[in-house]
Amino acid sequence: MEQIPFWASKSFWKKMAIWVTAGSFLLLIILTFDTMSKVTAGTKRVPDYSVINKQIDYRYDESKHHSMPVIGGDAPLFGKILSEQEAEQLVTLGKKTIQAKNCMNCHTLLGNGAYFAPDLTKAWLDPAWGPESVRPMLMKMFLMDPEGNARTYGSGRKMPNLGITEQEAEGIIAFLKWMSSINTNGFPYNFKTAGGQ
Amino acid sequence: MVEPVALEHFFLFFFAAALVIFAALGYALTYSFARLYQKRSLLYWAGLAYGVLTVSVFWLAYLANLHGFWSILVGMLLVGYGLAPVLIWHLCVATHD
Amino acid sequence: MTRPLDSSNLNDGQKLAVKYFVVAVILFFAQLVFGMLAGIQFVHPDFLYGVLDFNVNRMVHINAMIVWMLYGFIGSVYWFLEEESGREIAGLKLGNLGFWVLTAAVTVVVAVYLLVQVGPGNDFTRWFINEGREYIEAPRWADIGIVVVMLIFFYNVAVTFSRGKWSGIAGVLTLDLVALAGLYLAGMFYVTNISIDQYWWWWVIHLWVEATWEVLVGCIMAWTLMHLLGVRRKIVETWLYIEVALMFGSGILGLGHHYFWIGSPEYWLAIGGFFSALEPIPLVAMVVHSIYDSGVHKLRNRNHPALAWVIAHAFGNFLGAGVWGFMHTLPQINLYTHGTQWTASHGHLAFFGAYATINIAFFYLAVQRWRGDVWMGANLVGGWRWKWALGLLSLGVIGMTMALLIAGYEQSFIERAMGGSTWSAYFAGQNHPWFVESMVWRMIFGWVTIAGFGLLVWDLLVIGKHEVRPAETLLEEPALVHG
Repeated sequence: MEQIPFWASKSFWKKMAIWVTAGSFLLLIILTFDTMSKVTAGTKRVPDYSVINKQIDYRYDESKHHSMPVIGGDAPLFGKILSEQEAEQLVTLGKKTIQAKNCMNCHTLLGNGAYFAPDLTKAWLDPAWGPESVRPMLMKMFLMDPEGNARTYGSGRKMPNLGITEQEAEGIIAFLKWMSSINTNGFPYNFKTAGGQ
Repeated sequence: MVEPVALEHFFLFFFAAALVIFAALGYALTYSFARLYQKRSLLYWAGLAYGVLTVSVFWLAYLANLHGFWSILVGMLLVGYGLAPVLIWHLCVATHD
Repeated sequence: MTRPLDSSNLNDGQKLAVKYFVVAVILFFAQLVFGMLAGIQFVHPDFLYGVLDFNVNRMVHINAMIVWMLYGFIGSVYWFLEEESGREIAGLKLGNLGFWVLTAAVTVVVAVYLLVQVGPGNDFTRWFINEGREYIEAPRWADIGIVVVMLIFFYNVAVTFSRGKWSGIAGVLTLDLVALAGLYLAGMFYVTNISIDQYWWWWVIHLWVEATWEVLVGCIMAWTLMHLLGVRRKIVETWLYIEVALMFGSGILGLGHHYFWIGSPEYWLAIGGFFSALEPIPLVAMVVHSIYDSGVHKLRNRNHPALAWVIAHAFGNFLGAGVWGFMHTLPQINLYTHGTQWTASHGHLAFFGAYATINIAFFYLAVQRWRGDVWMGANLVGGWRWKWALGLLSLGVIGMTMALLIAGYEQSFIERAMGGSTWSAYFAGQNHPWFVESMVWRMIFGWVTIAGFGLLVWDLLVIGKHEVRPAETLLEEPALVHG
């Protein structure tokens, strides 16, 4: 009976459980610190909020086998160059509105959410919204009256009216433009932008 | 760092990935039944299942472009899925004594 | 002669547990109803448009699922707390208070979801209406309430065990509950930067579902196996530790597979890919162990429905988490499948297989005791009901999973790989006949699932009522003669 080898004993596995858990968690914490330093706004992967003053594109990078965001010259949103602080305020309003209107339970952001409506990761760059000269206006009209300006593509699915104000709509658009500048390791793949064709 | 699955390999990839896990299951099942009933013949079947596992892992590696750094993953799958049932069986026997 | 559901058969912890189980079953029903409404909207987009839009239905669908499963887990722990510790529950009044506070809070949250739905883009909305982050939409005031209730639960578990027997199960459970409550805090702050938002959001979602919940279920299963099959405590506890090592070893860094595309550095592609490729290993281990056990016990047990649901758990977990998970977890393919119906397919089978089945198994154990340890073995009076309920629920979920799999395959191919994920590509994928027909099939299997649920509830209410035989007594398990 009592000749269980050490590697099958309760005390051995108790220690293993503790060490494996503690080790994995410690590694996760170290990686979390590193990741945080690399995804803070204003880094190479996640640009400053004032990137909404710039031209943004998403182009295929041969060496990486996927597309990368490309930041170009000035292209102010709503015709006005914003300071970093003003830009952050506007993007913040957009993010809070996106949460308040529960967008994520129809759309996906960075691919996470629900699958009833298109992904918003690169929505700012989507050819569906025309050239940059009219894009913000079209998006604003749509957000403020999605039923009247419905784009169903024959699917019959319409975005409901969520009572989005003009200010909130501008915030959302600023947020979408900023989000499109994030380096997402090539997600979504093979995306063809309005400008990049 | 990652070379995505090519369009023409799309369907085959899912098939190969499912095959990897099912082959691993088949191997685990035949191996443990062979031990349980002490039947040598079942061990041959376990060997066959492991063969299928090996082929499907290499197939998966080809379809998903698992070369260079990612070939470590191929080794890990072969060793991990191969040893796990054996080790777990011994652990079962030892803990139940 | 009938056997009534008699609460004098239960200890105080078990009486409290029954309350949790009742709410769990009601929320399970809410999950199915709102899932159906959302499913119907895929087929008939105008259905309830502007009244209960898809985002509302889908939110209630997934929230009800999370909460009913938690109710089931909490109930299960309260169920065995007194027997396992050998002591009376430390804070029964507090436990009851926690139950009513949580239930009232859930009711208010759902009422606000349904009646108010959305608010202006400010902090008030996030505090009192909706946080707008998938799975953890509950407004902030409710988050705080949830943490308080979890602390009450933790107090009861930790103090009851420390006053009585401190078993191996007690140790793992207590530490797991600390992690469970602590991780929830990671989802309780606002940040504009969506990469950081998603990073911490996954801490809550993944580390709950793929780590702490797994271990919580491991504790519940450990206790269940001792009582259902008569497995010796020493063996069960050794294996609980082995499971913790395997689950946390692959699960904690398996978190990496959610960090591929949210702006996080490239090394997550490797970490996520490697650890998720290893995640099926605990499942393979489970298969080997079950075969060993079947050799030892010949599956002798005192509750056939519960054991059948445990077996359904093994299959469902293997297919849902193992096969469905591995098919789309490597970044080389996840680049196309991320954020498509693939995820929905995987989610349906994995949640059902890993968690719904275990809760249902436990409901059967509870009902057996509630009727005074009634016979639930072979030739059970009205035994067809639990078999059909098991069959219909499994068929329904597998059917939905297959339909969503076809839709997900089509979507990732047409929209992602070929179309390049633009809005027009998205709708091309959604309008494709494969997709449209899959959504119809998903709805049909949704009805099958609901039928199975109806039968399950009926069965839980009457099973054992007309049985006169007492439950089988179990001998302690023998060791395998050879090996």
